[in-house]
Amino acid sequence: MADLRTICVVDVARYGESLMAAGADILVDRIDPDRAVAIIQGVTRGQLRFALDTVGRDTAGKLQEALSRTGNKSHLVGLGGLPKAKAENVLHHQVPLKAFHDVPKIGESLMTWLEKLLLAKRLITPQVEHTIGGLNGINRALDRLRKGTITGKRLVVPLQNHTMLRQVI
Amino acid sequence: MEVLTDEESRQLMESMTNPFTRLAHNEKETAGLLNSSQQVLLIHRPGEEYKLTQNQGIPEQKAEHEILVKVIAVGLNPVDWKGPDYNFGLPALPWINGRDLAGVVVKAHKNLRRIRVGDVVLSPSTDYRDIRKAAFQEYVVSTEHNSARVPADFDVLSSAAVGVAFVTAAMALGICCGLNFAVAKEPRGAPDLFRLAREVDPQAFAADIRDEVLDGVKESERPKPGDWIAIWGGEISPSEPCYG
Repeated sequence: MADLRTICVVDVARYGESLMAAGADILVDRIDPDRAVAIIQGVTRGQLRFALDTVGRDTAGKLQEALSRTGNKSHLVGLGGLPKAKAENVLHHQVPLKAFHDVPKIGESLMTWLEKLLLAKRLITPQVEHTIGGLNGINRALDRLRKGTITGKRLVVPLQNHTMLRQVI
Repeated sequence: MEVLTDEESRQLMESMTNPFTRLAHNEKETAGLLNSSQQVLLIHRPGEEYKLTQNQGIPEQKAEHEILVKVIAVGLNPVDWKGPDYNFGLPALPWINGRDLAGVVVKAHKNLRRIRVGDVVLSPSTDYRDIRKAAFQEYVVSTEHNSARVPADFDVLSSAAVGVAFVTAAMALGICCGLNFAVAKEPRGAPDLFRLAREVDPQAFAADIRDEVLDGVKESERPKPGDWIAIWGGEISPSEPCYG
């Protein structure tokens, strides 16, 4: 990732293989969060300055503990929430998604890059499961997400016309 | 011997060189894909199920850069159930949700440079305040700058699960952390979002994100080769090229 070294906290038994294949440098199992923080601090020699949490406030708080408190500012990005208290020298970030749709220059740069990545097959895209019933099946599909029974893949809802559409030409 | 017209030979040449999926060549061909009404999924109250509703209007384009997309597939995100359950992301009621979609462009202004009628696109719908752009309906308004064409060798249905995760990851790293993607050698042409954002009129950014975009990370603090980043979770949305 642009010469960054990545240390990923995940369910290693389940996702370790695919994340290693994807190029993660270090994997840490998520089962013991305090131990995960200790491992991150040890491996990075206390020099971690960037952290991204995709889960929620509690795990973002754990990442905050692992960030460096000295020198340059450290940066914590939370996709699912951020800890209430800011640690010294740590800046909190939420993704300013509005810039994607409000500012054409930003959106266009991301979409043309995405096209290039897909063409060059440089993007690891998620596994998907197709649901049935089109729009009408979305309630049931969302129930499965709600119950947490879907892991490691995304649900995609083909609308009922999709086969017809694909035969137009 | 059958001779191709100029238009037919142009289309043939294009189909041989265009690496993206196209389902039609022009508006005449997409006319058959247009209806006078559509069905949508409406949420009437937080905590309730979505209700399939017939005979709704087709969303209208209001600007040259807006396109009309006939939805082929919708990608589901956790926010699609969390929003209704915890009562957020609902600017009015009833409302339409849905943030990820792939579809075929059925209307587009001729002046657009990249997207044309007939293109199959994936369109991350981050603008949840604009009901025309929500994915849980048969026709969606998107914009050229929020749509990516789907390569011919990439599964269209799978492309519906790519957009929001990609945009979120790219902006988290490129804007919040200041990571420069432009140093990547393959493919060339990746953006340096940090630099790009500073070339834009600051007023273009909404007041509540301006500081994050323009002052979140300082030039001197941007990641350098060999720096570490720790990532917690994200097993199902590694659609960022970060590991590429």
